Amino acid sequence: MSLRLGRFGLQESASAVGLAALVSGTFSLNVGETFARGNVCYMATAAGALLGLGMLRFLGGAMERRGCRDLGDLLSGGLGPLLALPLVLALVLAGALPLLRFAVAMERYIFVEADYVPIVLYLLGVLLPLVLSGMECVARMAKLLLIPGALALGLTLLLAAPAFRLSHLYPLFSPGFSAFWDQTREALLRFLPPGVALYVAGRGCQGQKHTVDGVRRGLLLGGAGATLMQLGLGLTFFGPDMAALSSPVFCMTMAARQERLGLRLDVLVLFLWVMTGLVAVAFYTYGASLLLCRVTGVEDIRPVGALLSLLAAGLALLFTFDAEPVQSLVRWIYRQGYLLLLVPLGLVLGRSMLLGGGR
Amino acid sequence: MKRAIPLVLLLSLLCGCLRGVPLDRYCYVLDIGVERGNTLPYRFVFLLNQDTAGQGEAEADRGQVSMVSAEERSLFAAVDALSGALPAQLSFERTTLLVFSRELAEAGEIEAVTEGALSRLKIRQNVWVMVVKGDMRSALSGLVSPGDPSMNRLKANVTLFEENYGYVEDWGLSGMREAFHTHTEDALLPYAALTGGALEEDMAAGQPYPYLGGGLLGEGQLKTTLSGSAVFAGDRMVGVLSGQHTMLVLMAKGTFRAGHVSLPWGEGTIDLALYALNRPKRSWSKGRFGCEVFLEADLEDPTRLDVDARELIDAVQGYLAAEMDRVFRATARAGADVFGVGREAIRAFHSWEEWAAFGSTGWLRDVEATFTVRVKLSHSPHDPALE
Repeated sequence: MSLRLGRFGLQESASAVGLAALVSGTFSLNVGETFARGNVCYMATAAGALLGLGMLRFLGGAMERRGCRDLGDLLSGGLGPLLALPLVLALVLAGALPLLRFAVAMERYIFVEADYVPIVLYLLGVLLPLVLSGMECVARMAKLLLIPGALALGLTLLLAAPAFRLSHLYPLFSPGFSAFWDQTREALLRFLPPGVALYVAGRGCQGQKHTVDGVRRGLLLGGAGATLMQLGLGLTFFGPDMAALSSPVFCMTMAARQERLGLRLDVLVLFLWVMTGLVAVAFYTYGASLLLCRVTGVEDIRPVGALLSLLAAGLALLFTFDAEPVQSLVRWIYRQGYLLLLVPLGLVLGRSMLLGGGR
Repeated sequence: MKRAIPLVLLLSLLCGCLRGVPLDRYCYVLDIGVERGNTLPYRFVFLLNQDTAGQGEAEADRGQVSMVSAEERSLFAAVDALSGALPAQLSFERTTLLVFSRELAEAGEIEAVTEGALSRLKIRQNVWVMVVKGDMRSALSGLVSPGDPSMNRLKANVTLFEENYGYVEDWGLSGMREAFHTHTEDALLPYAALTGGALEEDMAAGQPYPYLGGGLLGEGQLKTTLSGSAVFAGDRMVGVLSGQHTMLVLMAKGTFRAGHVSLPWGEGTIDLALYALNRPKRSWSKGRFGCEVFLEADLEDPTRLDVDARELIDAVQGYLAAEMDRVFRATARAGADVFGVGREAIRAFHSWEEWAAFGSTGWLRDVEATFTVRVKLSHSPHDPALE
């Protein structure tokens, strides 16, 4: 059996979940739709992170009650394996969406003469060995990259700070409560996958308590970071202006003039985001691969990991196409993608409540 | 951990080039000037630096800068037209300055020129923007000196000019585009012109010697001089403000740091150095805009021992408040919200639709503005800053 799970502790778990939540919460957004009528995204991000945390706590509680060491155990039996498939797809999509944002930003600001294919292949060249190295490696990498992640967050805000204006947040609550609620629901696609991925790999964590704790601490940390980033974006641009930007986070680093720090610091920040982002994408992809292995009984994760890494990169590449059917699909994923997580997890939780404690 | 470290090193390889490109394959566009064309709508003037192998970005300062131009309907078309006439490919990666002619700015055509082309040409959002009066080639040539052919030091000087004197405000492309259509603040772009022109009065008038680009009574190395601001109402330039009046606007907006003022005093004037003390307190309530500015002043003339400190404070407070009010009325009459009153007014609205409807009604003309200036005299007439 070669699932490459390894052993990791609370700090590694929390780092992996935290980085993934930060990256997804910052980049996995449909910018055009989210900000078109104003900005409530920073509030919805905070609310979505808390809602996601509540749901994941509930899921962790169900796993504890039933004595399951990971999500694969909870999904075993009955329709469980079937319910795992949308979860696998959701985790792959959770990885593909930040990859898409990085590819767009790199094409726009770094490799100005390249098209998306070599850029995505370039990213895949790092993603693939990361996924194949296994969860212990990904989790330890996440711990190592906490500092670059924090640096990316801090530098982005620092570079944009001269352009911050409170008036950019006004009119407050312009899109209305229904938009806030829609965005909070949509945020579940950003904040449920980090927890789900760790629950899938829970067997490698040193104790079930640490798995649940890792999700809680990581999501609080990553959710707070993502909220801070969204608030920073809100302070830098008016919502409708932001809706026209392809990569608002990178535009944010260039919103203010930085003559003294040098014009190219924004490029450095972009690469810090790409480095931390790729570990988050690897975490999701490994989680999806492990879940697929668990429910299908495949004992070697390498072919599955390679396949799903290719799928994540392929989806990111597909989403760069401007064709209307593709863009409709992308819009659907951003709006309703959370259902891929919510429906199966709801059914599993319902079943576990009906069955009560014990497996 | 053993596996993680090599992978971190592998990640760092991402910070390289995707494929090797000889440096001399590119002509780097450092600055772009746009003015009205004779045959086609626009003439685009490009200041170029062509790298040779091994030469870096900083080498642009040592020469190799040339100027080319093309008349076309859009910036993108001009680049296409020039591609066949240059030995290397144009690259906009190092573009740091966009200059628009006053004529285009007054016709409200800046947005039309820049829209679309800037993102397609991958021009960065934080490039400098400026308005110049007169022929673009001459104006750009006037900004280039033998010691600074790429104008890098001149650009850095704009920042210093803003920080030490407040005679210009430093605007980037993204801020300008935001100002063009959000109604929350209008643009106040740096203004330059060829020297030797007639002294020009600005919108607020009343200055015996307005510090305005082209009209400065000094002779330096550059034939084009920069001072004062081009005032916009939405995307259309509606006038100019002298350096002294620009400084008053910056004080009220909270972007002022340091400057000088010549205060009318008896038959003559008294020179004071001014520094920002705190951010101004700005308020908005039902059509009334209030602005309280906090400054520190140093008396620069040690010979004026006859002046009473309290009298001086009252005089400078009254003078600055009255001048701010005058500049506000002059710009508001032209529909230009250079004081950023909209940034306060928008807080009273509940949706973008409501704000957009209000913002386009010419509301600024009916605003009642009150300016209050609080000055702390750090060096009294008996303890002047200069001994």
